[in-house]
Amino acid sequence: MGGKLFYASLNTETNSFSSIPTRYEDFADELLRGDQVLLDADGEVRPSMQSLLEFARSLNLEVLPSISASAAPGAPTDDDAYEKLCDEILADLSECNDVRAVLLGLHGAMMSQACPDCEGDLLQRVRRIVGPTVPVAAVLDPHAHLTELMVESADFLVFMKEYPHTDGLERSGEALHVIGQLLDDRLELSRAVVDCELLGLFPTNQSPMREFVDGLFEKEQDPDVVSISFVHGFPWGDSPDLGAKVLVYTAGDTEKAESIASGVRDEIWSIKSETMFETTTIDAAIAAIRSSNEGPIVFGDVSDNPGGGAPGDSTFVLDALLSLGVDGVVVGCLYDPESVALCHAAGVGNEIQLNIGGKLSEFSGRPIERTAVVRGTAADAVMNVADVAEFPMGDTAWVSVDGVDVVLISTRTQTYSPHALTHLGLELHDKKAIFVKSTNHFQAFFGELASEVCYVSAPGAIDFDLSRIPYRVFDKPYYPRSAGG
Amino acid sequence: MNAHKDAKKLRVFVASLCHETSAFSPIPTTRTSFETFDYHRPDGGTPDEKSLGLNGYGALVRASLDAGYQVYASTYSWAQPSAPTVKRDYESLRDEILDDLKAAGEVDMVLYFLHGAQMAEEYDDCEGDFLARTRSIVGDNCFVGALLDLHANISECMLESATALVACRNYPHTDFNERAVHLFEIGHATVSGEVSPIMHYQRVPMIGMFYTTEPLMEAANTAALELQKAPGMLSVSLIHGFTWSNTPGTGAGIVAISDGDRASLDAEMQQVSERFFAARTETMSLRKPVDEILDLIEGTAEQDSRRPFVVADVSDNPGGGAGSDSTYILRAVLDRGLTGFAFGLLWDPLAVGLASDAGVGATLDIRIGGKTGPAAGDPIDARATVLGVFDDLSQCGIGYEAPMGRCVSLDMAGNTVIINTVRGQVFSPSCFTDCGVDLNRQRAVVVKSSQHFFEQFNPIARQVFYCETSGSLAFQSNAHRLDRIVRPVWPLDEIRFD
Repeated sequence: MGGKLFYASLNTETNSFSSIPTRYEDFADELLRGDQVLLDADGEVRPSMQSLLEFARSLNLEVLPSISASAAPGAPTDDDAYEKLCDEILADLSECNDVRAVLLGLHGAMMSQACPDCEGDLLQRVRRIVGPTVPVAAVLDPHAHLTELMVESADFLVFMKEYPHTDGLERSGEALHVIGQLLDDRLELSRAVVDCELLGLFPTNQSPMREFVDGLFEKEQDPDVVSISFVHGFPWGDSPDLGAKVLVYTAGDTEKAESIASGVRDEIWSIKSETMFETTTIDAAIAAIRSSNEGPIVFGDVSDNPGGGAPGDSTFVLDALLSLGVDGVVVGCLYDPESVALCHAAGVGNEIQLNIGGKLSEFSGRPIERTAVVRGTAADAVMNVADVAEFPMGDTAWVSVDGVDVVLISTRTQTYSPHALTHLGLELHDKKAIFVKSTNHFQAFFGELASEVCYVSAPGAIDFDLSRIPYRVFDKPYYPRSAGG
Repeated sequence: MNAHKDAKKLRVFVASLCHETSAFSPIPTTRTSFETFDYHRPDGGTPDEKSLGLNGYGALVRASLDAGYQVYASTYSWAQPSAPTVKRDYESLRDEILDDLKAAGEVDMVLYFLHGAQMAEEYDDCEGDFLARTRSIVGDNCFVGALLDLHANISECMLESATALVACRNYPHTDFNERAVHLFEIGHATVSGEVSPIMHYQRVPMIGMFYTTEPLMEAANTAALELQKAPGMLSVSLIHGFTWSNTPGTGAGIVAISDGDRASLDAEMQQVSERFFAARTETMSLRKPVDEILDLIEGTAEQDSRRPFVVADVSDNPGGGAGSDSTYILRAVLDRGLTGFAFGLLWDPLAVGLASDAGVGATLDIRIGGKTGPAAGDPIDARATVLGVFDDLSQCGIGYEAPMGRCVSLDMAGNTVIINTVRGQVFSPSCFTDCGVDLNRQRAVVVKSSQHFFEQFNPIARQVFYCETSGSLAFQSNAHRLDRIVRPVWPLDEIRFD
C-alpha cells in the first residue's frame, strides 16, 4: 500500500473550577517529538506503541509520529499553548503528502480559554488538511465531552470502557482495525449519539457498572455492531456538551445504531443512583471517628485532590474538625507555602499564629486563623511512593493545632503515600483518623495502616455532590440536579 | 621618627535599627524581614556610597564627615511594620551593632536612627533595651543621640539612657534628614562643650493619628518649633505615639531638650501640649465609612479634566503593620457595580503567582485578598483578566526606594487591581503608572496607606478621602483590644487636660 499512518497525542483534562493555570510549560515538561513518541530513551519501542507499529507494518504503512503531549489537570489551557501544540501537529501533518490514515490519542475534555472543545477543533483542522477520504480515528478517555464537531470531523471515535482506565491498548487496537477496514473500503460506518442527561462517576470495577460494561462487550459481538462507547462525561468541565453519552457505530445500519444507543441509555439510567463512589459527609466522617477505636480510618478528601486540578488548600475538613473539637486526627498535605515559610522562620517547638489554607481559590474555604505549634520542618522534601515514584513537596512543616496534626507543603501535589506525612516525624498508627488530599490513588498506599478507607465529600473544586456544581455554561437539565426521571 | 601625633580626630558611631511594631499584626517579623526589605552593612564600618544615601542614617553620616569626624558606619536595617520580632532575630540584629560599637573602641558620639515603637518577643521596649546596652558600653560621658519616627512610644529607659531624642516633625515623614542634621548639631555642640543638654518628657494623654497637614496639628507643630527656637532651648519633638504597640508606654508626648536647667520649661511644655491635645479629633474625624465615600463619588459628576478621587484605605495600611490585603472597599465597589476604580497595592503573592502563570491577556477565576487573617475580610472570588505582569518594581518612598516585587494588574469588572509580592504601602502614583494605569482616566484610586500617600497623591487628586473599614488598624473596631495602655487616655476615656 505504502504511505504514512500519522499519529499524535494531546491530553489534558480541563477542570473549569481549577485555579491552576495550564501553560505550555506544563505540556513541555514531558513533550515527546518524532521518534521519541515511539521509542524510549534506550531506543526500545514503547509498549504502548507496539501494536501501532505492527498494524502499520501489516498494511505496509510507515508510522509518522508527530508529538505526544500531556498536562496534569488544571484550569483551561492558555490559548497560546493550545495553538502552539496544534500548530506542531498540523505542521507535521501538512508537510507529509502521503498520509493514508490518521490516529490521534486525545482526552476529550480539553478546553482552552477560547475554545470549549479542543478535540473537536483539532479533529476539524486535521480533516481540513487530509480531506474527506483519509480515515481519521481517535482513542479517547471516557471522562470526555462528546461534541457534534468531534463526531462529524472524525470517521471513528472510540472511548475507553474501563475506569480505572486499563483498556487503552485494546481500544487503540479497535481503532486501528476500523482504520484497516476503511482503507480497504470494506466498511461503511453509520453512527448514533444519545445524550443520557446524566452526570455521574462510573467506576467499572464494582457492581453494577461491571455488569453494564460487560453488557456492552456482549452487544459488540453482533457482527453489524462496530463499536459501542459509553462516554462518562467529566462533571468538573463546564462545557455546553457536558454529560454522559452513548456513541454507537454500526456497519451501515443507522436505525440499529440508534436503537442500541437508546437501549444503553436506558440501562445506565436504570442504575444511575448506584454507580457513584460511596462518599460520606464531613459530619458522618466525624461521627465515625468518634465511635471507632480500631486505629486510623483513612479518608480521601476527594473534593480537593490537586491531582484533579483542585487547589489542595481547602479548609472545609480542618474547619469542621477544629470547630467540633475532634483530636487525634491528621490532615495533609495542605498546600500553603506562606505558612510553611512562617513555620520555618519560627522553628520547631515554637508557637505561631497561622492563617492556614483557604487562599488559592473560591473552592478553598476560608483561611483558618489559629495558634499552632511547629512540630517538624523539612527543606525540599520529596514524597516517596512505595519506592517506585517520587513527588517533590518543597519545604514542608508539621504543625499541631488544638490536637489536629496538619502537614503543610509548598509544592502542590496529591497525597499518595504515608511518607508524605511521616517524613516529618509524625507517627500515624496511634491516630484516630487521617484525611488526605487524594481521590483514589492514596488507598493503594494507605490501605495497610488503615482500619478502614473512606471517601469524604466536602465542597470543593471536585465536588462529588454533582447536584451543587456551580456551572456557568452548562445549562441543560441533568440527573442528579433535575428531579426528572 | 619624625612623625608627630595628629590632633585626635573626634569619633562618631552611626547605626540604624528600625521597626514599627504592631502587637496585633498578622505578619510575623524575622531577621529575613529586615534583610529582604532594607538592610545595609558597610564593609569594616567604613562609610560607602550607599550608606551616604540611606534615609536619616545617611544624613547622620554626612553631617559627621562634613564636620571632620571619623565615622564608624555600622548596620542600617529596616523592616516593614509587622508583629513583634522573633526574639533571637532581634537580639542578633541588636548585638551585631553593639559588637561593632565595642570593636570601634572609644567614641565621642553615638548617633542612631531608631523607630521608637519597636517590640520583640519578651521585649516591650526594644529602643530602651538597645539604648541602655549602648550606654553601658560607652559610659556616662559619651553623647548618645537617637533620631526617632514621630510614631514612637517614649519610655523611661529611653530617656535615661539617651542624651538626646529627636523625632521627625512631619507626617508624612518628609524631614528625617533635616532632623538628623538637627540631632547631629546638638551632639556636636555637646561634644564641643558648648551646651549641656537636659532632656524633659511630658506625656500627653491621647492616642491616635495626627496628620501634620491639617490646620490644628500644623498649629501645634508651629508652637513646638517656636519653643525649640527659644533662647536656651535645643530641641522640641512632638511624639505622636504608636497606638497598636499596646504597651504601658504607648501614647503621645512631648520631648524637650534644654541647654542646662530652665525654670520656665514645665509651663512652656504644658502650653505646647495643650495645642497638641487640641488637635486630637482633627485627623480621626476625617475618616469616613466606605459607603459614605462611595455615595459622594457616585453623586459627583464626571469632569472634563479628569483627576481621580483618592481614597486612603487607612485601616489596612501595611505601614502600620496591617496585612495590606483587606477586601472591604473592593467588595463594596464590585457590589455597587462601579467601574473605573484602581486599587493598590494588594499583597497576595499566591495570586500573583497564579495570574502571572496564566499570563498577560488570560482571563481566570481568581481568589485575591482576605488571606492574612479575619481583619482582612473575606477573600474576593472573581473573574479577572491579567492586564500586565511587571517584575521587580519599586517606588519612590519617603526618603528611600521602596521595593514592590512582582506586580500584576488585573481587570475586575472594569476596575484595575494591582496585586504584588512585597508587602508595602503606596507612596507614589508610580505604583499604578508603572503598571500601565493612566490615573487621569480613573474615577478613583484606592491606596493602602494612612497618610504617606498624601505627599505625592494630593497634587494629582480631585479630592482625598480617608476611609475607615474593619481592617486591622481600624480604631473603632479594635479599641477594646488596647488593654495595656496607661489610662486614662483619650479617646478611650473622657479626659480633661489643662
